[in-house]
Amino acid sequence: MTGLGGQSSGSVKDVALSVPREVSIAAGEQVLMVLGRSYISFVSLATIGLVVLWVVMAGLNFYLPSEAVWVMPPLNVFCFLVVPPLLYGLGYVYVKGHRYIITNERIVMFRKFVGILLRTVTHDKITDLIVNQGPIGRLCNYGRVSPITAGMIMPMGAVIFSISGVRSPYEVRDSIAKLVRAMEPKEK
Amino acid sequence: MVVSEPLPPHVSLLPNEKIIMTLRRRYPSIFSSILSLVSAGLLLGGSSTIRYIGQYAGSFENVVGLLYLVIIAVAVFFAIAALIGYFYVHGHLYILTDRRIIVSTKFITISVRDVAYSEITDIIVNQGPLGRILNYGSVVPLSPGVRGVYALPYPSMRRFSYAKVGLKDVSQPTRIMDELFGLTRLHRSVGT
Repeated sequence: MTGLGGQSSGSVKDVALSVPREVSIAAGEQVLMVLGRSYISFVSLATIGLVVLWVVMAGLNFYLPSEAVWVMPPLNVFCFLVVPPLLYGLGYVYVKGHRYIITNERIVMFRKFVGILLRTVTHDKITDLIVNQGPIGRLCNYGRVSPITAGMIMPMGAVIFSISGVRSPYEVRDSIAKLVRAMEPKEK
Repeated sequence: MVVSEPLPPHVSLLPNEKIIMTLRRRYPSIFSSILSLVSAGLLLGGSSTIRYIGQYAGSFENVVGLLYLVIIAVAVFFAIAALIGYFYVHGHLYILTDRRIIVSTKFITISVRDVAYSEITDIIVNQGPLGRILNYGSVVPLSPGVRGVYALPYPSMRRFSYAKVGLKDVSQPTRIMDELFGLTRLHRSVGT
């Protein structure tokens, strides 16, 4: 555990990442896991975007009429030299701004990048758990775990407000599923 | 942040219901909306206005005169929007009682949402860059009846709905979220 940022009156088990100071842990609440987003999940997306951009640029280089060719050198410099470091650099900050805190009572999904976006959902309100892995995610073992509730339905709950780009998504899914089951009312 | 004032006539409490806190929308939040409107207007109409001035103004004095006119028009728009915004913001009242949240907005029309803590499924907090500096943001309690689209962080995507369902631009949004979580937790433990 590397210290707790939030004003906490609950307890924290051994976790590798810190809880951001914007998130408070309630009295009697236990932090079980603090997860971050893996940088590779962003890099794969950004690289696909860059490749598409470069293909478009290459096409423009060939098909642009000769009177407009003067536009290409500055555009090439921008797309090949300025955009990649900017994208990967900002992407690093973007990825570092993600924290997913799983406590014994709820999941807090936190993103701090320019603004702050925070979703909190208690385990007893989760109706579905969806895991999504792309081809690179399958190779590198990362994916998106989406806790769906009656209020946060597909596709919003699965895309914007979810645990994105976490390592070992199936283990995370299993941990949440156990917590959800523990919160279910006992059958008579 | 916490305001104690008489309740508006369209909000009534149940017997034995106690108010925990009342919140108001922060006035500075309206400026981010006005700024985004002005920037969108300048982006859309700016280039054509400059082109028009360049083509038809003729002399340098005329160009300067027309530019002054544009600046005055933007300033007048800003002032009118700020004045209307004051009344708009003043019409927002959020009441947290020991049983439910009441979201009341009164500006030309009246809209009141009541949601019991036991029905809350998700709580979303959204703070923009200006909100982070001035410590305000929106807290949207979702329920099975009021779903995620209202909590989208991209205003353009939720514009199609004009229902007021969240605690928009309140002070210390993360603290409000903690209070809400505490209240939902309390009602869950009472319920089970």
